[in-house]
Amino acid sequence: MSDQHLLKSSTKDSDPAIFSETYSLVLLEKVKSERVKQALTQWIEEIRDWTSAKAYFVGHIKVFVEGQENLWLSSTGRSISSKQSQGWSEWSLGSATLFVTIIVFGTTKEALKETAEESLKTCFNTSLPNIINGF
Amino acid sequence: MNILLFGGFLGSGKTSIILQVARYLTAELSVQQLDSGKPSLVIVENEVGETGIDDKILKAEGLNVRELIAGCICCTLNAELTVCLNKIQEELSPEWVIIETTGMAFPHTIAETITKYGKGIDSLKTIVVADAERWDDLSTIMPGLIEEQIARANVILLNKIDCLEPEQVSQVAEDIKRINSSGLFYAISAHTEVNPQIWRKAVTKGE
Repeated sequence: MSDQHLLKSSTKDSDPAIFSETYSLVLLEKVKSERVKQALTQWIEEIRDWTSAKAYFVGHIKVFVEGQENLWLSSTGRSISSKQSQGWSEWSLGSATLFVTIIVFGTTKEALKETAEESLKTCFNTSLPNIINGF
Repeated sequence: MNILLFGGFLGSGKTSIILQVARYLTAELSVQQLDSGKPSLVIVENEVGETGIDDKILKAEGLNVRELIAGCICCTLNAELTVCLNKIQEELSPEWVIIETTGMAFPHTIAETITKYGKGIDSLKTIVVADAERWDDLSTIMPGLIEEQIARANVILLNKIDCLEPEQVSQVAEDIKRINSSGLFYAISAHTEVNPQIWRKAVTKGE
């Protein structure tokens, strides 16, 4: 069965799974904002790879980091777009709020939540070990 | 109020385009604030999920945003949107209102509700954003939704044309014009600054 056929089967007459969460990021020491961007980019890549491997269809993946500076990442399961406020690259981040919304067709809300949360934890622990509270 | 009602599938680039249109209206038409201090441009965000993101992106640009968060994908909040619009008209009476619908909404049905029950509306345009990069996938997987979103739009913006070869863009453009031959059509890439002439024709022409 082709990928498109699989996708069509998995999306027909079905609502997508939605994962939408807000996290308070409190860092034990200040880090360059680019390290947080790298961790979140890796996270989106992992979600993208998971959907691709399972032949699910991505509605969208959106991430917004709100603090003294802002970062916006988005993807439809292909490339990852990135926009940031002017001072983002120079910012040393101590705390911020992380907003994420993922919409995927073909899977369940529970499976998406489990994958998204586990993957986020892994990405933060790998890129910023022992630095972010709660992950 | 002049209303611009934006539709188009999830991830098609509606928010990026709205940012550019808002900048255009602000710069070209000096609609930042009325003499009364009230904003002359208000954006209404209808998002899916408990956490709004698009509204924060727009607010970070200093724009006046009202949010309507839908709990599930099928909730396009028609009634709430009309109440919200009438409240905006009553409290602020702005010259322009931009509405971003969810990616699964049918803009023309929302337009019908607003036209019937909305107050103080001088004009309403439906602008649908189509995703050039995922056109083949979307028109295969969800042909009904995509075609219905486009079929009755006043303006169609084919976005992300930078992701395709020129001949592929022409093919998608042909497909879209077969679905809607009467709407204004523009092929753009919101990754870069869109020519303001396009906004002049697509957004403000006829107002």
